Amino acid sequence: MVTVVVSDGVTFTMEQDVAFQCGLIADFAGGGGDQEEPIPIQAVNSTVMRKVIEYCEHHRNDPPQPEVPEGTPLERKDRRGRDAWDKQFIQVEQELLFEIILAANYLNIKPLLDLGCSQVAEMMKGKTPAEIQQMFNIVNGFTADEEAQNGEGEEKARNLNS
Amino acid sequence: MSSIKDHGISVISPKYAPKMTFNCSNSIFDLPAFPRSARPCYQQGMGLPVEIWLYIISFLEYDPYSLLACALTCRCFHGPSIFALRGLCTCWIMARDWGGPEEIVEDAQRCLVSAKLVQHLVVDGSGGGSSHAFTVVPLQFAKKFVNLASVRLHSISDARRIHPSVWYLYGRSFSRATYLDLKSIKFPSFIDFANLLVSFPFITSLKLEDISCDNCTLSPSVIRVPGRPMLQLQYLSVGGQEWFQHTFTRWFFSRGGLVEDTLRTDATFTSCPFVFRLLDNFRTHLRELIMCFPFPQEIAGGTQPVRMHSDRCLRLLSSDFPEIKRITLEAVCRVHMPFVRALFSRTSPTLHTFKISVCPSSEDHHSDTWNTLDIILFAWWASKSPDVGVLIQLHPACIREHDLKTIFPIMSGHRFHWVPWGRTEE
Repeated sequence: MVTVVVSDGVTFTMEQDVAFQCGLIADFAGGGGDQEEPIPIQAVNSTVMRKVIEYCEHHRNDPPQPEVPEGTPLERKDRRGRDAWDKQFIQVEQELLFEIILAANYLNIKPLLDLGCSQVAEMMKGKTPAEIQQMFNIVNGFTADEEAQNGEGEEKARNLNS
Repeated sequence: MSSIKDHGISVISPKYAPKMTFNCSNSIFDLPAFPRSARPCYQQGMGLPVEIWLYIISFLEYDPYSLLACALTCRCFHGPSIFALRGLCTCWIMARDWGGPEEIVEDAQRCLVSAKLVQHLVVDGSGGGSSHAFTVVPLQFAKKFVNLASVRLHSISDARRIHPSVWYLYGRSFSRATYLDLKSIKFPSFIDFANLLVSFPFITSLKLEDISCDNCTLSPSVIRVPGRPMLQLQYLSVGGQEWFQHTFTRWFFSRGGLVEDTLRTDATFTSCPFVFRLLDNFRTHLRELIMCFPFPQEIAGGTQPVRMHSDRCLRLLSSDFPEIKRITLEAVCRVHMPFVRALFSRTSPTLHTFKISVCPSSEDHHSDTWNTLDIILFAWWASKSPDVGVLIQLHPACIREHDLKTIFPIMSGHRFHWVPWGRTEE
């Protein structure tokens, strides 16, 4: 069993095959035996950690992801498919989604990072630049001249989509 | 203006507001490319680090509209989105990925969704069974890729099974392309090759590598293949079997060749004396010369092919190259030394880089050592010219580089450099 302590002091205990899906925990534990000392994970709070453990427990028996060879054409690059459970799991508030992505990045859980990022990408699909800016509270940082040029670009984008 | 030939992209960099223009007159990708350093990239309130946003953008790689929207969303999204769009603009047809005709059609249909975007077509049959793939491509995509700039056809192992009219169809289907790259193709006859070439009327860049023909005779019917001569050619690279190059050169000039002052970028020859006529034709505008001498061991009959034309070659190489900036001589051995010396018999004011790759000339290692020393000493002498940098590359079978450095410690300096064998960048 592996025990972790998150930023708000909550302790989680999980089985090794669940915990070792997190690259960070596997590195901490050194790959062998039960971990006596709780592993501190200061960058993740208990709410997010519950979601992470839920994901890891569901995927504990998954085979390792095959490597996509370098130079594979974009059309053929196939990321891990999302099953119905994954889709349901990642349907969360935007704030929690971002925290899950950050946790997956910190804990080094590539499939969860991919799942979260693809969900954000899905949210961006079909949106205009202004809608994306508003949705994610993005300040564009363009100068006035660049904004004017962007207007022409948006026109082209609309033509492309029509 | 600098050109990235492989991608058909020109990057124009004026002082203010740099602009990336894809090399197509009516391109839809006439988007601004803002300087990265002008403003900080990190955006307020985005909730995620920029690195993760960039990773998220990589999930939009199949969606050109979303990528365009991302490019216009904020400054730090712009570069990666444009980069991803550029990748999307290339339609890869890899024969090895296809399981059968149904899959080919399905793949083609998917490409047609974004046909307006496709600027580069790559058909690669290196996985075998390529004849079907190469036949289907022009039939599926005919006239659809309206913004196509470059066509690459690579590795057709069973070209005999392709109907001759298919070659002509390529040019008819992708007639706007200005860049044509043919590699590892064995044509049944030269006329098939000629048919393919003349059907691309707007070619400005032509790259031929490892091309051969079963029947390489230059009959009158080949010369009369209808089509425009390649008068707009600006970039030419010719490789392949020597007889192919010979026939190509004769055919090329029989059709009027090229206007001398149009070929001003660079020219590459992967071998041999037969292309000296080309060299003679545009030497006054040549900026870079790459000559790959054939390895003596690989030539049937020893060094005969080089000697056959040596007088003419020497005369040509001794003449002026007024705009030459870089000379690269690959696989140089003792028999080629007259050519190397001829190149330096007249100084060129614009030359700044001279690279020699030295290879063994025979089974006699003792003679190889002296041969190598001879070339090295000549190169070192050439490096005494104040404006010329010399790069030396030694084949492992020649004398060891370490030994040379020990014997001649003086042979080092800011204009004389050793490049490890196999490395292309200096």
